[in-house]
Amino acid sequence: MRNRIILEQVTLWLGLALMLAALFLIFAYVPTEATMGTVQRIFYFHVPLAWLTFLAFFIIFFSSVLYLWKRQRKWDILALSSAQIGFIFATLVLITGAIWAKPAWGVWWTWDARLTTALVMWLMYIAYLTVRSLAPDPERGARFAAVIGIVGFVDVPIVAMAIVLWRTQHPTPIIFEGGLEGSMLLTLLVSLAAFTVLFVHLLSQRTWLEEAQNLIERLKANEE
Amino acid sequence: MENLSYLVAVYTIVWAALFGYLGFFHYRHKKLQKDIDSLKKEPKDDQASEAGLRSGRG
Repeated sequence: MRNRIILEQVTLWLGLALMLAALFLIFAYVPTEATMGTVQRIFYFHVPLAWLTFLAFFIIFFSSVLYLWKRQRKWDILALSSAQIGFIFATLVLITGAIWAKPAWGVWWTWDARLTTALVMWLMYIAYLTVRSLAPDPERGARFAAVIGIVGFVDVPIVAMAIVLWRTQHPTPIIFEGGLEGSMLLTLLVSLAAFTVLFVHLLSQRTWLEEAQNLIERLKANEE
Repeated sequence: MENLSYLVAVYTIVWAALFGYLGFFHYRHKKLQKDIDSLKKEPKDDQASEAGLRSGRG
């Protein structure tokens, strides 16, 4: 319990400090990109959000495997918490992507491989979260959700590789090809660190809330 | 500074979502704390009423 409080405090303040540093770099340090102009600065929020959408789904996959194997409630709680946060990030990825697409491509949305597979991943998050409420009992709902978490993870490498596998309108992975200028890379890395630390904070808070909720429900059930 | 409105829209939406989610956590946290407090209080009430019954104050 004490370790969790320390983790939450450290991740909150470190995350906020990194976020302020990232905002300074984005608006006062990094040069304006020549082709797209100032709107390219969306990149420094859009990419970290996309990375966390992948990370959140990996945590769902990993926890779901462990839940089906060990049948311990803590793995289901971790997967559910990650799914709720991942869903919010996935929604933000689609929204920020659409807002960036309008000035860059002239349309809010296009059915190209990257965007379509990202939409499928967002639907996977919805399926994971809604299947619980449709199941006749919570135990079975958790098992169904775990299966969706494992099967749905297949989409993650497809989303990541879509820009390499198919011809898409989405930019190619310039980060790994070394095509990003030094100051832009630094800004992106600081923004990635800020969002990742905040994600850890949110995940820790969310799992605590779920555990506390379960405990209260059990205590109430025992009283009755 | 063309297309600035798109940039402002993105940063506003992301920040609003993150702070909104943190606010939701705060609300849930307070609600759970209230539940925990009421659960802690109930056994004491029971004990108090039992004690009251034993001492003839029931």
